[in-house]
Formats: sequence, structure tokens, C-alpha cells
Amino acid sequence: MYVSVKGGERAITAAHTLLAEERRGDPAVPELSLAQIEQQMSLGVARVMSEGALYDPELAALAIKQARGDMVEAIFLLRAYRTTLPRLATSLPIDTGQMAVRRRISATFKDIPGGQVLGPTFDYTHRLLDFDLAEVKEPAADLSNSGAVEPEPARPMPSVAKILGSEGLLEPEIPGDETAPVADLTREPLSFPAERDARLQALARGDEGFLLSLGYSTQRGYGRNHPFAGEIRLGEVAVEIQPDELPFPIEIGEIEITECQMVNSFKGSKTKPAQFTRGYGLTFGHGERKAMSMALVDRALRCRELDEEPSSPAQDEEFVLYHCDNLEASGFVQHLKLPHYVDFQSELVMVREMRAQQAALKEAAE
Amino acid sequence: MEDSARSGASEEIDGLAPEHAARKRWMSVLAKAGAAELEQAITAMQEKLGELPAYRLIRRPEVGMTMVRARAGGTGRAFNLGEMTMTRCTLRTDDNLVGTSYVAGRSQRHAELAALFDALLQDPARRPQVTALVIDPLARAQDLRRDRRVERSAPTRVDFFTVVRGEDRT
Amino acid sequence: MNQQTKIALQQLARGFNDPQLDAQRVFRQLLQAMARPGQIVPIDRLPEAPEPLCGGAAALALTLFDLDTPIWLDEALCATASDYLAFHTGAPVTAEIGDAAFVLVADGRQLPDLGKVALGDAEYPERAATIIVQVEGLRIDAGHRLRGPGILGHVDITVDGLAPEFWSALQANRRRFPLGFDAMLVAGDMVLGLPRTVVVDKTEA
Repeated sequence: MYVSVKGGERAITAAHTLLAEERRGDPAVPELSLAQIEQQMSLGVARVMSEGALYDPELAALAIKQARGDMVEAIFLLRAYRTTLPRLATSLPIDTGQMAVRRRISATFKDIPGGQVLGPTFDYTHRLLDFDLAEVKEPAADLSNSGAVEPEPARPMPSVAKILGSEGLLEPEIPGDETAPVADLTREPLSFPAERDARLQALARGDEGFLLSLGYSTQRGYGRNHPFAGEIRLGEVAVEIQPDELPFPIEIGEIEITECQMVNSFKGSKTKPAQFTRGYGLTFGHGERKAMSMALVDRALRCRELDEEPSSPAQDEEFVLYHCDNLEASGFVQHLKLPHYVDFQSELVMVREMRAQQAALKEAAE
Repeated sequence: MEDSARSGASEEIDGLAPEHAARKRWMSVLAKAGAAELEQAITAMQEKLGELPAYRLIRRPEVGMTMVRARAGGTGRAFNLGEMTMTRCTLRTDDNLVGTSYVAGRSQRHAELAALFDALLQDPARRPQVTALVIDPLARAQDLRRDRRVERSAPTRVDFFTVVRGEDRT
Repeated sequence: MNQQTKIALQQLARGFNDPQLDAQRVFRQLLQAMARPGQIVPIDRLPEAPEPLCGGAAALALTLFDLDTPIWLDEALCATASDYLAFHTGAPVTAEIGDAAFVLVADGRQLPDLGKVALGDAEYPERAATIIVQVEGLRIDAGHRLRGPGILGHVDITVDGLAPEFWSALQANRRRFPLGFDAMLVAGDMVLGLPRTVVVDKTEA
């Protein structure tokens, strides 16, 4: 039961004005531009796109600016905006084997065809604050695309999964029935038991922090994972659709993605020969921690398929999938701020009555 | 397919009739071009080839989304990863060519220009010139951009030296 | 790889002038029609449409159909309007009437078997189908008496060009409430909403 809120509209309008002022901060400080956020906070943009489940760097940058840097709030804004756009097509599955790779590493093999390419990574930095960055330099010309020399052709980079798979050491990932419908959480609510397609979609949109902790828990023994980072790739892939009025698929553009293949050991069972098993993580933009966490949790949730007894939180499908969406979580947690005056009144009355009863009983006993 | 790291392999499209392959290629190039690039191309074309035909919009530029699908493990069962913004447009020129476009992003102008070029390129009389003037240069620039992006990571490729065992040293 | 184009673009009718705003306006008008059954509502944004699809029915289709709504078309519409609907709405066409979210009938005198139409289920009653039927005329006049939510007292309507079994189907439908299909009758640019809440009092031959 809800009590209608009388008045307060003026206060709310004033709150919005104050919010806008706080968002802007000191007017003497230059205002943030979307281009600055897109370029210089690109990892934040990546997170907002992944969990907002909408790839559009400019919109994500706008959401971050409007949310004052609160990423979960920005994700909320992007998800809300999503609902105003019609869905016009579904893409063909992207081919990560065709990625224009900017970073590619494997912790399972040292020498791999195509090599270990570190790319732009924090991994080897010493995590010392760099006070040079406190200075703001004047903008300069973008030289990243210039250069007279023709670049060398890129080397072939077969996936580590393919290499391991060729000896049958790694369980294959097969497409299965391509005509079967693909789960879509934006259309049908989750139902349990959830199939892998629904789980992967939920994890892809899921909160990085939650999945990170769950992934961590699997490593600490809450689950029998023994994971290895088989391969992590960052780069751009083409997105193709085939509209009804065209007799062939067309490319609509490229997106940057991060892909993680986790390789986990699995001792064979009566029905299966010993093989490495897999977990898969995929994000929009550059998001390694999320992709890795997603892969660890994906593997944990596959316990049913792999005849493993679920014994830890990360293997509890309902626990993981019901709580991984930070929009839902934030909504319910923050809804506590809404007036609960009537509920609380009835609690108050009950507590007072109980205390009165107890006092009366005590008196009677004496 | 998986082994090819050569980006932008639009020239080698297996299993498509040449006519379709050509159209697929130019549509891809138009989609990946920027709206500003296409505006410049229109101007350049008008200067070189004269007035462009007028056209009527069958479907006005419409901003929407595509659901991006991926595969579990990169090769397995399809799943829905998330949506991306996309704009589409379909138009018919006065000389009855129908052009259509589906381009990533939210630029209605981009979609309209791409659809116009798609229409013009379907005219066998115009195709060679428009291809040479607009598509080929854009394609080259796109390939170059892509290759340069990848090339920037080349210095970060690790060269492992095999360490010689201690007994070889004195 | 699919190398057949499913749509011939050359002959296609244009659809809404302004897809977004027109659809929003038509949706509002439709909402009114369904909230107040018996009120005959004019649709004032009519797209270009191929015969035998009338402007009103085309407006409803372009407003309500999309990638997620499987549609069932009668024979006449399959032949003439499937390209148009595929292009403008992206709605997949299904041969199984029971799988359709929307059933579109060009001639009210030739109804499909309404017994097979989706009625929803206890968990999701809203997953029932909506049946859109083109008729010759709609007017307030002695004919069929409608009562129920959204109707003050009752309203009498006459429908020209609608097979009588429609009304018995509607009465049978009401007994399944809260399950059951919802319906819309369209004559030219006029719409009559018949949600599953409607009670049809008397049936005339």
C-alpha cells in the first residue's frame, strides 16, 4: 500500500537544481567534455557499455558525465536510454578469430603463433602514482594515424583454444542447433534451470565487483576450479547483420571487445575422458578483470553440465544470476529510501504493545 | 577463417555472387566511414560528376539497435552479448534506384548519405567512377587505420630469447 | 548464407510519414479504444499501405508489430502485404496461428479458426494474441450490446462485414477470463477495441 506524496515537488525541483550545481562543481574549473571522457576514461566507458548492455561510447560518456562518475548510476542511465530505441536487427555471431588484435596474452603457453602481445596494459606498471599526470598539457595533433611507412601485415593468431583443442585436450565448444532460439533476458525473464546462453548474457551484463568476488571465491577453494588464463584478447571485430531486403549479410561497423578463455582442469569421469574444461568471458570495450571474472563464474556455473556437485556460492545458479545485475540490486537496496512510514508505524505499534505486555507480565509476577 | 588475422578481408568474400560481393564491400566501406567523410565525398562527386539525382525517402533515417550476438568459447553456442546503436535508411532516387543503409551509431545523416551512395553504386553506368572516386579511397584509408592500430602494439610483442644453460659458460 | 532477398523494394509503399511520432500518436488512440470499448476511435495518422490493407489496419500494424511479435496473415495479406510488413516492422510471419502475437485478417467475413489463437497462460495471461480484423463499417446502433470495464452501463454497436461466429467466439473468450485473446475491429480509419474484458450481451443474426 502506498501513501500518496503530497507536496515535495518544489523541494524536488530545488534538489535537481542543486544536483546540477554539484555536478558542475567549481565553475572556474573547465567543464568536462564527452570527448575527454571517451578518450581519457575509456575503461570507465567500457564498463558502462558492458553493464549498460549498449555499445555506444558517446552515450556512455554522457551517462558518466551526468552521473558524476558514479558508474552504477551511469549504467542505469544507459539502460533506461536503451528502452527508448527500437531493436531493428540481430547480428550474426561475431567472429573473435577475425579480431584486429591489439593485445593478446596467454598464461598457458609461452611461445604461441602470433606471439604474446602486451598491448596497453597496467599489468607491469609499479602502481606508483605518477605526479606528471597532475599537469595538464595543451592538446596536440593526433599523430596516431600518421606515418609514411606501410605497416607490416599482421601475423596469424590462432587461438590457444584451437591449439589445445586439436589434440582433444580441451573440451570443444560447438554451436549445436543453430535454429534453436537464443535466450534473451531483455525479452523473457530468467527461469531456472538456466541454459548457458541465458547465463552468459546475464554475466555479461552483470556487476564487475560481484563477479570479481565470486571468481575470487572459486580460486580460494570455494569450488574446484584450478583456472589458467588460456587466452585474453583485446581488439576490434566486425558486426554483421542480414536484413530481409538484402540477399547477403552486411557489416554495420566494428566494436572493441575483450575476450577471455579460461582453461580449467577436470579429472575424467566414468562417462568423460580427462580433458581441460572451459570458461568464457566477453565484454564491450577493454575490460579484462570483468572478462576474467565472468569466465571463472561461467565455469563454476557449468557444474551441472560437467557432473560436479554444486557446493559453493559461485556454483549456485540462482544466487549468482539473481544478484549479479547491479541495476536490480541497486534499485532494491536504494528503494529503502522511499517513504515506508506506514509500514514503520505498524512496526512501532507492535513493538510498543509487546513491551507493554511484557511489562504487565513482569508486574503480575512480582 | 579463424587463423586469418588479416583485417578487413572484404575482398575475399566466399560463396557470394560477384555482384553481391561488390555491394557487400561498398556497403561495409560506407558504414565504417564517418559522416563527415561522406559529406566530403558527396561534394567531391558533385564537382566531378555533376548533379546528383534527387531522391525520396522510403524509410526515413531511423535510430535503433542491433543485438550483438557472440559465441560461447568463441566457437560454440550463440548468446546475446548486448545491443549496439545502429541507424538505417532506405531511399529511392528519381531514376528508380533503391539504396539502403545500416550503419553503427546514431547519425541520421550518415545513414542517409550511405543509402544514397548505395543507390548510385547500383547503377552500372555510375559505379566505376563512384567506386574509384569514393569507395576505393575510403577503403584504403580504413584498412590503413586498422593496420596502424594493430601495428601500434607491435613493439609490445615479447621476443623470448632461449636462455643458454649454465654449463656452456666457463 | 541466404542469397535470396525476401523483400522486393521497388514496389514498396512508404509507411508512416514520421515513424516515431506517428506510431506514438496511433498508440495513444489505440489505448483509448481499448480502455473504452465501444468508443469508435478515429486513427488520424494513416500510412501508405498496399491493398487490401486499409489505412487504419496498416497504422495499427506499423505501431504494434516489431521484431519480437510473430504475426499471422490471412491468405490475401500473405500475398500482398507480407513484404510491406516485413520491411516496415520486421515482424516474423508464422504459418501457425497459435504462435502469433498478432492475427491480421483482411476480411471480417472470412475469419480463420479463432479456437487456435493464443490465449495466454496462468503465469503470463498477457501473452495472448491480439486479433485485428478489417470490417466494412462500425457504428453506434442496435446490433450487439457491450458491457464491462471501461463502458458506462452499456453500448450498442453495429458492425458490417463481420462473420457472426466472431461474436460467439468473443462470448466463449469471455468465459476464459483472465486468459483470452483481445481484438480490434478496423473500418477504414476507425477502430473499435474489444479487450477480453468485454461482455457481449445479445447476439443478432
